[in-house]
Amino acid sequence: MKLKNLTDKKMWKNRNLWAAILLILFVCFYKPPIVEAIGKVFGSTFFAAINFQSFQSNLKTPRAGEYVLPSAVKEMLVFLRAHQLESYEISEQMKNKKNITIHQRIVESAWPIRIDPKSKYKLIFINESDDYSNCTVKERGKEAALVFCR
Amino acid sequence: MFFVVSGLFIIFIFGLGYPVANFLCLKNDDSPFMEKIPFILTTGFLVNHLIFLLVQSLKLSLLMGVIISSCAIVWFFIKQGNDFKFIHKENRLPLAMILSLLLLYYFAILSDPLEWWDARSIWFFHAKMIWSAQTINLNAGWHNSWIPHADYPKLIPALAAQVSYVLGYWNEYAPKLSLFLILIPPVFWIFSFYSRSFSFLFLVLVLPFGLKTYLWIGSMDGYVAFYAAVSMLLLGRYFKHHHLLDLMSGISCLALISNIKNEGILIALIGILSIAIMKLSSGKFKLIDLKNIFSIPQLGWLAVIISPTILWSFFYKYKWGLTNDLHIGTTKSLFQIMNRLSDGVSFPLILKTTFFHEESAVWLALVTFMVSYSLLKVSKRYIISWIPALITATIYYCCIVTIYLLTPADLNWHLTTSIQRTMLTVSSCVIAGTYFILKEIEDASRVKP
Repeated sequence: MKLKNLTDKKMWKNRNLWAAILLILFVCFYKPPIVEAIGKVFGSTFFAAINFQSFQSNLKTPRAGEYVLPSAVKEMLVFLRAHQLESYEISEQMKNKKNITIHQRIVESAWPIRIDPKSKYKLIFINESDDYSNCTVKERGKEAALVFCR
Repeated sequence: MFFVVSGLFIIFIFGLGYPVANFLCLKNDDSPFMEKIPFILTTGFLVNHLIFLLVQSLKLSLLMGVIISSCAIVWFFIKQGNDFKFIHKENRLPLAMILSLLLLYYFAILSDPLEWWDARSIWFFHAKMIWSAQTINLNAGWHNSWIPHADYPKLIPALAAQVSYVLGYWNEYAPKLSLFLILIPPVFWIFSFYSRSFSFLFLVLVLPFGLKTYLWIGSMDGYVAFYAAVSMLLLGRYFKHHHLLDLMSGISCLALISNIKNEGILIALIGILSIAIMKLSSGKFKLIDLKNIFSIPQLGWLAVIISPTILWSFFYKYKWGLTNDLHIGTTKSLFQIMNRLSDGVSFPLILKTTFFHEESAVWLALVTFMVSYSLLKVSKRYIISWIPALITATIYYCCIVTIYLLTPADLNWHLTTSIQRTMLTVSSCVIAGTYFILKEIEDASRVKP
């Protein structure tokens, strides 16, 4: 658009132009950001279309998507499933508030395998191994271990 | 297989809603079929949830649902024949837009696994509990102390559990189909306001795009805000055109959100209050009008749609001792309110955060509303459709502020982790009210030479 057109008085009397300007301003300031949402929605569709096999496979594969879990939780899940346990207990350090993410994630991802304070199988962090020297180590990973305590 | 299940679930829900909505409410209604679809689907979600809450077994509820739904679909095709009004020429463009938008959201919702905290730890964890126990009763494990917010409404978790039950497995993607299903009715309703105008563009940008990630990460707040705003739009249109389907649809939205989140019950009550205020303040309202609005079949429909809320929030929760962590109504909470009001810091902090949080658009929604209202006054036009939305937004805002005043959690933590979500409903309702004003201004400018 030429500068001459921009300074044309008639143009500024155009209601539609004003409405469009105000709408653009609104969209720019609105939170959560509208443009970002539109980008994400179109982006997801585009990526799903070009990786349709992967999109489809994610939906139909049991347990797909567990990659979002913290690595310690992924290790613990493997231990619990390998031993086909029905219940387990977690270490005191794992119950600590600073480890709330690990605690919460193992509870929900392991379900229906439930936490039971009476269980003899205990999930511990590797750095707690010395505290559980009386227990038998059943599985040992990089961050977590499964021990059996009588 | 998954796409077939997606389609079958839409038909299943439609089939459950059709007999209840059609027989009790829409018998003599000649609205276009496209406007009836979201109403039937919303009723279907509530009927499905009611059946599940009554029989408590996932398998039995699905079996009963499939039988009812199949019969209803056969009845629908016999009755409807070839008379599909929504395929009429003027409805083709909005229908194409609805389908395109839903397709985009289908991919956006199902592309990513469950990752967001509340989605994993509350909503879809509850769904996994229902799915693994195949029941919604105490066998699901609600009494375990490490289950967060076991008292929360279960419509979406139950639907997600049904999806996983039909598929026969659990993963971090497929249960999110429940989010897509719930999204269908409000998208249809938004496009029932379709017009080639800036006001509609304004509306459709905020709803659904202004709800951003909250529609696909597994948060319920986006859905509560969407349904609340849509119910205000429908109620606003009802007060303008007095079309009964709009009133029924608005009420069905309120009934649905009271089964999504506890805040939904609050919005539903405020929404009903706003209808009462509007009716009483019109000066023409008589008790006999209620009889005209709600005939006996419509009262039956009303009973069906409010039953899931009553069953879960006022019966099972108390029967099973599932309490809320906010301790609302206790002496402790009253003392907390007094303390926070008198400390001189908490109350201003809440007001400041609710209005000016970087992720909240309450101030912008209010500014847009006030500017539009001033323009309406300048145009010398009069409209009342925005009033229910503003009443609801104002009272709901005050209630949320009260909840922040009484929260037993650390106030700063509670504000920073939730304000952007709780204020979504307030700003969305204000936007719904603003839409009517902008539409009126547009119509006024078209009438003038």
